[in-house]
Amino acid sequence: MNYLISLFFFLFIWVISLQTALAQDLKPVSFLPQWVPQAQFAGYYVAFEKGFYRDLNLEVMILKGGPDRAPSELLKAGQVDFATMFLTSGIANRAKGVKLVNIAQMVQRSALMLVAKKSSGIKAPEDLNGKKIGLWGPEFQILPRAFFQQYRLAVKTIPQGATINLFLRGGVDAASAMWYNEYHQIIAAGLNPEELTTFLLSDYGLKFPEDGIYCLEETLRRDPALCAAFVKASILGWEYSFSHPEEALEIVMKYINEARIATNRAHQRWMLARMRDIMKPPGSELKMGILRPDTYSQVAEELKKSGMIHEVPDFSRFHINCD
Amino acid sequence: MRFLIFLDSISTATKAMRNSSLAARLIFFILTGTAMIFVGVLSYNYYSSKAAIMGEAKEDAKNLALATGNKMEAILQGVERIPGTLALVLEGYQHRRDELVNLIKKTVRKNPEIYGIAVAFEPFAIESSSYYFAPYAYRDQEQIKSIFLGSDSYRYYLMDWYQIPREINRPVWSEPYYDEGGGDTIMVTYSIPFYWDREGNKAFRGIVTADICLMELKTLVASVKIFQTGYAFLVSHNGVFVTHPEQNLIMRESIFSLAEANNDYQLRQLGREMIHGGQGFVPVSDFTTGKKSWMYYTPLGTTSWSLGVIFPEEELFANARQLSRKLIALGIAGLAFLAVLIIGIAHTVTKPLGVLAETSSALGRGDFSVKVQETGPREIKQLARSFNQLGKQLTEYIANRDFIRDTFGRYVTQEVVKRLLESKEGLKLGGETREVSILMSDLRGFTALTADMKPEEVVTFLNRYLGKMIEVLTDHHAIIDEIIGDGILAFFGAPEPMEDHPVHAVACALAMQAAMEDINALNAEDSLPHLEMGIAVNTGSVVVGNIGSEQRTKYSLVGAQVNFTGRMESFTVGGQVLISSSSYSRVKDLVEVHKSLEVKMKGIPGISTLYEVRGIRGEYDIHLKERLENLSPVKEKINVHLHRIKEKILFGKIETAFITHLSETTARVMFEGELGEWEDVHMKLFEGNGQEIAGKIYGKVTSIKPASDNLREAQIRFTSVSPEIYRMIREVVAMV
Repeated sequence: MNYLISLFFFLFIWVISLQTALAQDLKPVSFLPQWVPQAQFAGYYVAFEKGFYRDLNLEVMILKGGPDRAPSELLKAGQVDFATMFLTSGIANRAKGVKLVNIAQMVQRSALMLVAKKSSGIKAPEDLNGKKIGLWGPEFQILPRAFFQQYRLAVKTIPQGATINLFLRGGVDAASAMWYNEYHQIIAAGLNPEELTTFLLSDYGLKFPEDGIYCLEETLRRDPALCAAFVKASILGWEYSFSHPEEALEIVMKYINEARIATNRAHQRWMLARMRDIMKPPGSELKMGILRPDTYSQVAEELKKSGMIHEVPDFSRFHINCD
Repeated sequence: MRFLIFLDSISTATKAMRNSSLAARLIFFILTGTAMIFVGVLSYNYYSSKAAIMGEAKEDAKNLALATGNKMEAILQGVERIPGTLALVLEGYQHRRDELVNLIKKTVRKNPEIYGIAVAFEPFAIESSSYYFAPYAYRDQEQIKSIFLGSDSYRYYLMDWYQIPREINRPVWSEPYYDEGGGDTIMVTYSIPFYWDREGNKAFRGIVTADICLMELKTLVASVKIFQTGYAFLVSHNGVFVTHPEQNLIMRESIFSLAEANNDYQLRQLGREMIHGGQGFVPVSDFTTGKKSWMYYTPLGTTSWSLGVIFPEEELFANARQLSRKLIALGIAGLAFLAVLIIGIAHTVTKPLGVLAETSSALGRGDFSVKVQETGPREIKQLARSFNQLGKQLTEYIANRDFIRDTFGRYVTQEVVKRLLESKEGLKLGGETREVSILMSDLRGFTALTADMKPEEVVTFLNRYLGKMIEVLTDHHAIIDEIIGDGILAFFGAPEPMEDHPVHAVACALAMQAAMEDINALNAEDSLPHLEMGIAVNTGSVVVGNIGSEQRTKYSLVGAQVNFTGRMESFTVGGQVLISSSSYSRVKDLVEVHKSLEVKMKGIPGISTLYEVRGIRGEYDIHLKERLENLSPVKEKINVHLHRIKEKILFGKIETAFITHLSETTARVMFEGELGEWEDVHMKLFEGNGQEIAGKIYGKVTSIKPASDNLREAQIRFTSVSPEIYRMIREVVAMV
């Protein structure tokens, strides 16, 4: 008995000293998700809560994102080390001359979709012709506009705000929605899936990867190992989230409650499941973190076509695989 | 199915009941029946009162919801009027910037229910230089402040409160939201579009809004109480909880998110009903407790919100349940009381029955004197009465039977009666060959003696004799076969087998002879004739059995030995017991034989030896007295006439005869004429003067031998002598 107690005491002392020693080596970094806490960022919260970052000697501080905090701005200002952005935002900023790099392309598919009520007579893409369609800001318009072009549709676009209420109250015939978020909000406002017609734009050949991890070129140059560690731990966090969805939800809800976000677990569960669909698309062999040059070209060309960029930034300088 | 099982259990129970007590049966059947009725009534009561309660509760919930809804609508409508009026004012008049700001500040100040009012214009609508123009007046503590909304970071054109009414061209209540300050205050905005006339067309110009704090509505909803824990809640157009006792639901969860989390399709349907302005009373699971509940929901006017009033079912039916529980308790108590009552009633029935059963057993044992009390219910009383009557009748019957047996026994022997009464076999016709001892007795000269008597005298005279004889015979277990007049036929050794029946028969015969002394003593006192009796006893095989027909049967015996005994009997003289050689061979060691005589009997080949027995030793030890038989010569010869009798008919008369010697039993007569040995004679005595002496005397010729001259000498044994002659004889004998 005494032997055991001494052994535990010894182990305890050893662990404490080890942690202290490690703590001395932890590198403090900050991270900004592009939006308020939700399951869209589950992997990062999980990586933090499960100690994956710490395991790789990172002392990560996750900042609260939101509409008032543009990741590109904060990155540029050097206020955060890492941030997530849509690929389109990344390319646009790069093209604008912001020296940021994509160190991991996390979401491989676009979750952007158009949703219409069947009751408004919309059942196929052609039916959108002449209809009022709610569209978000410029970078969310690239895909829908490409889609309209694909079907040669003349639509009346209405700028769409932060809620889906305009659509719900009949202010627009079709609305923009993220599959993992607004689509489910519509469902959660009492519309049944069978009452809706959806156009998931990635189903129409428009495979626009979305969330990626970005940092400044400078950060990468100074400490590539740090970046690699951040990416590695983040991917671990996502893998863990997908294999332990309820535990991940628990963690996400904790962040949501702290941030006083008006949402609920059912919605976050849906979101996490959809994140899996777009991060590890069924039938695709794309690994998390990889950005393929051809995909990059397609997106960049689309951006150029839409006038958002004038030059396509060099892929090799845009995406650096940290592995 | 369940009913069948029930029936089955009833039938099983019924089977088990077959051997149970009356009380158990009554309890089982009455209690089962009563309990079934009770359960039926109770169930009906419970379900019907449940339905009534449900109806009432529905009304209560409905009224409560509607009343609350109306109050809320009144508030909301009051709010709606203010921006409505403002919109009209704006459409009619082009305000300057400062005028507008003052107007809305004044309006906010005047309407305490309103938190803030904004008038937001379309881009460049007021001034071509400003993209945004939206003055907003709001309350800040006691002060009314104003700002201008609209910037790159607050593009109000994209806000729901602006965009929705603009696009749908009608006023709208926004979804509730937390106020900008980030506090717990939930706000809601009423937006109404206003227009201006541009080249004859109505053109959209902007939006007037009124923000209100939901505190008042929340308080109103929270004030709703129904039953113990029932409450009201409000959901928005999107199904989001605006108010609810559970804070975690507010603004986070919607009916639909709860339905999704619980996979509750019905709840989702209900939510759709609610946000589509439906109204109804439905069963639900409470959103937080999951308890089975009921909910009334109703839409809230122009807001498209829905107000729900919800309460747990258990509270709704708490009273009904409590009442049912009380009724069940009362019912059980009632059944218990009934059980006690039944036991009591059953006891009043079964107790007399038990007494009756015991008494019956007593009756069965032969105690007919038992009686039961004639109390209790009428039927039981009747039963007791019948029972007592039965006892009485049985007593009478038994008395009657005894009377019959006794009476019967006077005519036949008790042994036979007993045998007949005690076994059916006793009545069977048919017989068997048995060795018995037969006894026959007869009075000597009885017919002659009684010829002159009155009939009553004859009967008394005969009964005295027969009574005594029957007594002796019965004592010796003789079966009296027949009594004809003075003659008796009896036998020993049947129907019950009897060892030593010859001994019994001989002893009985001796006892009968001995008893004659007593009879004659009594007869003498009554001046009745002296009786002499002869008895014959014979032993041999005869057929015994019930002889006769179904109508008339007699236990009797037939056979040559019976006839033989009859013959023997005719050889007896008074006071004599003659036994046959077959009897003698069986009793010779015991008896003392006076003499033996060789006789020739009619119809019997050869000579028969008969033994005159005077006593028996051993167990009976009877000895007859020596009789004075020594003949004494008479002083004067007594003349007699001898009338010869054969088969009771006089067939000859000897007039020349006289008595020379005399004893009490015998006379020696010298006579002249025909006379045979063993002949019966009627003697008429004459005095010296030729006068006939009154009275009668009969006798039997026992021997004849020749005397002097032509005379012969006959010994005549008296068989019956009338009293006056008997007296005379005794005088004569005494004189000698």
